[in-house]
Amino acid sequence: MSLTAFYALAAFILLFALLAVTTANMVRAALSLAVTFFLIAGLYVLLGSPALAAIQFMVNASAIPIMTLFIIMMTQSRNSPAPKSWQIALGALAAAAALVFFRVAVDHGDSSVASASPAVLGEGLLRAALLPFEVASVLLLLAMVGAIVLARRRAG
Amino acid sequence: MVTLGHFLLLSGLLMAIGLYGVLTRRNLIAVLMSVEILLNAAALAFVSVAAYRDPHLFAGQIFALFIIVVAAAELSIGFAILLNVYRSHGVVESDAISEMRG
Amino acid sequence: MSYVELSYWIPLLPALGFAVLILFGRSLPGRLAGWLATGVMAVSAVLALGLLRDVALAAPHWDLAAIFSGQSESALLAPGSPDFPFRLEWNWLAIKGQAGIPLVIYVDALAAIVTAMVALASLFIHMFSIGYMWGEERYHTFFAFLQLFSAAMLAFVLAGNFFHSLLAWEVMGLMSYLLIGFLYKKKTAQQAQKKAFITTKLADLGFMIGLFWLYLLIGNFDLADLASEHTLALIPAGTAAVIGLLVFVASVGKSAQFPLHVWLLDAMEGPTPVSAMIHAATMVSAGVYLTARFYPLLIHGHALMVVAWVGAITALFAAVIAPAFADVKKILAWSTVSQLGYMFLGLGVFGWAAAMFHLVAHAFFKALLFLGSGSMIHGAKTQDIFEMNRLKKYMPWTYLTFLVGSLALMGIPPFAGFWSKDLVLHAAEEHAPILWLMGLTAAFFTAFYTTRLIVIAFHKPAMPSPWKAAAWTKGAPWLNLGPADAPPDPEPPQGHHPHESGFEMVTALVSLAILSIVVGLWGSPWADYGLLKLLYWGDAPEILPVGKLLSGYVIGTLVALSGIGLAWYWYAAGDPLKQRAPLWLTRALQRRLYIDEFYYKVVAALGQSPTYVLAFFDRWVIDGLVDLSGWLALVASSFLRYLQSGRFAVYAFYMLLGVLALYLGGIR
Repeated sequence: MSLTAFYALAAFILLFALLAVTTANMVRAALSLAVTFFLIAGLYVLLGSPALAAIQFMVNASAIPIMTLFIIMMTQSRNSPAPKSWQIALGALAAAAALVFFRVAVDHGDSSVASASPAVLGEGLLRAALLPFEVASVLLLLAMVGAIVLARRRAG
Repeated sequence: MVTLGHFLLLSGLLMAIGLYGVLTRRNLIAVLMSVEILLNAAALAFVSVAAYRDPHLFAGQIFALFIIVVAAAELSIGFAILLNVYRSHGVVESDAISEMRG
Repeated sequence: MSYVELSYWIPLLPALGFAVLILFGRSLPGRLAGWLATGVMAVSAVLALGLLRDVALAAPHWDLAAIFSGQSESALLAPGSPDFPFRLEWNWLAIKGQAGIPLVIYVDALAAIVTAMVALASLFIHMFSIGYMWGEERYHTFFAFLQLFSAAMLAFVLAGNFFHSLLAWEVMGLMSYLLIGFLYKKKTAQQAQKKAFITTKLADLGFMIGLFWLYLLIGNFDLADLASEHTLALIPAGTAAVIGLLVFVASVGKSAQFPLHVWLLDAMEGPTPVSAMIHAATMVSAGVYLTARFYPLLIHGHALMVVAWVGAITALFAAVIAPAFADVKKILAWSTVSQLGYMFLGLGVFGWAAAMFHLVAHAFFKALLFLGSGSMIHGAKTQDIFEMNRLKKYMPWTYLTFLVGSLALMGIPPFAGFWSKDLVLHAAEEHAPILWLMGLTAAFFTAFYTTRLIVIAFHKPAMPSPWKAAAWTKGAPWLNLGPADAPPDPEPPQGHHPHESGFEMVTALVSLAILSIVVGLWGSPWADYGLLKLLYWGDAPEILPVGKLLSGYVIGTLVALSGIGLAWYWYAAGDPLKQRAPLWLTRALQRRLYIDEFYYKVVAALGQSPTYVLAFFDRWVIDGLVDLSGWLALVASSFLRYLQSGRFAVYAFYMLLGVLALYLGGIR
């Protein structure tokens, strides 16, 4: 695995993620988010899961940004107002706190990656995780129905 | 040489960015986007740990799949709610919906 | 299939009847509710009689003559069936590793006899009520209550476990409350029911304390176990006396003995069948029965003298007061108090079987008298004996049966009260002559007031009631002690012609009259003391010297006859309205010797004085604490409310802090 590829991807992921959470312009933020997710799909390739990368590309990097753009347009949210100073302080504090969880990360020295082919992943999904798989399909159905019911324009 | 530590650190940084976004964004759509970053950071951590440590079962990858599914569901419901907020308040900004104030 | 195995149905049937009537009674047409309840009681009574037959066959046979002459060793003619005191046990509250409290039905001779008595008396009271209560509001509810009342009494009598006795006892207390206040729209009825409930409830405390104390000592509630030598050896004599007397307090309350007799007079506010129920079949009999059941303990603790004295005082006191009343039900109520006094007197002077004989006999003739008075009231539309217009002429059946009951009450041979009361008096003569004298005096007054009642109500034409004219006979308004001895509303219509009561009522009266004669004869020498033989249990120190019996019978009869004679001379031959006692005495008797007033003024005041301290404590300390807690919450919330900013970013931060706390706290 190429160290260069990882660092390049990581640098852009962080850059676009930061843009996604800081840009005032909502459309730009959404597009930055799409780029971030797209680059994360690249990381999945590096991690030996092309299938997961494809799903990440299709769902997170395509469908969700499109949906986000739709909602941005429907609610006419051109800009996100600039954060207040107490929000920035709170956010910085939270970000620092979150890093506490990952202080263990630097200790790991593993270097060999096992690749999970789509066949293997599918096999695992439909054997070991069959029940969660089905439950997830029900969840999606419920989410769909729920979203339609919630977003429906009420009479009067 | 890319190690598991690299991935976990990246995941941690993404999580920090996501959290920062959740707390600082005032547009609620942007907040949900930040939540998406949080979820992706978690998925990344799962996948990387599985890739390095679990070469037979790939439970982490499967878990990441479920995270994507749940994220999609959450987002669709979240957006539907925001649509209602927009209808009732005219904007989708957190300052507008502070009825829970004590 | 023996009746013993069916015995649990005896209380269960009326209980089921209660459930049916209270749930569906409203939809029963006409008098069906009454007939249904009566039918249920009839089945119960048949079962009870069957049970009595089984017991009579299985019980040991005694030679009473040998017992009376003190040779109790050779008195056992034939031992009873080996399983004789019959016992059915159902361990409904089985706790693993614990004895639990089994539901026990215990049938010995006493239980069987009293069960039969209760079931029969209750049956006829039910039957009487069909006609008597017809037209009243809540007709079916009345029968439902009567059913549960009977069920509770039957369960109480058959209970082989004092814990269940207590349960049934309390149900009885509740039913007496509900039935006394059945005409709940009357203010006096409300007061009467409260008075009855509070008085008996206060006494019940004694039962509970005694019972649980006993449990601490012997570790069970078993009735049969209490009588065993082995168990009694566990209890020190002094403690036995205290426990026995605590339970006796409950009996005093339930059986309306001095000084807790106050509730019974006011209990006349209930419809007349209820009075009959309380005075004959249930309630007051339960008190005597309970003391009879704790007899071994009382003997063990040498506490019987207290029982005897309370009984004798009550018997005399109530008999003396009774002539001062004009309300037929109240006169009978005093006579009940008095007769119950005889029973306790009998128990107290080792006349256990005699007292139980009197209990059964009294139940029948008192039920008869009360139902008879109900018939009188029903026909004459007044409760005041002075206002009753020659009922003998208009109500022949009522007169005849009432006469039978009265003769039994007065103790005229060969009626029931004669045999039973004289046995009690014999026992008293043997042990405490002074109590015997008190009993004899009470017998004189009993004959006197009963004759007065009969003469004025049945033989004399209606006359203006002296009690109504004299305003002082009514309780002063501030007294508020419940009903004074004033005639009830509605006012009797002028020129009203009494009429005989309906078929069901007369049938009930005649049946009870026959029963009271039969029961009396069963315990008489003519039937070789059959009832007493059955009741006799080997250890009871029953001493009834047969030689003195005859002289006792003669003395008792003479005393009763003299009472009748005096009343006849005063009221039948003379003018009933003439004031014969000094006014202060009549007034004192009218006011029930001021005992109620004493309770109201002294006891209530004593009880009230600590309440001022408590009220202060409540107002300033308890309320203060409550206010303080409210104030603290208010102050705290005035700060904490800022945490609820309404900004979700802040909430999200709290969430993060929570996760962080979990992480740092060790959940990794």
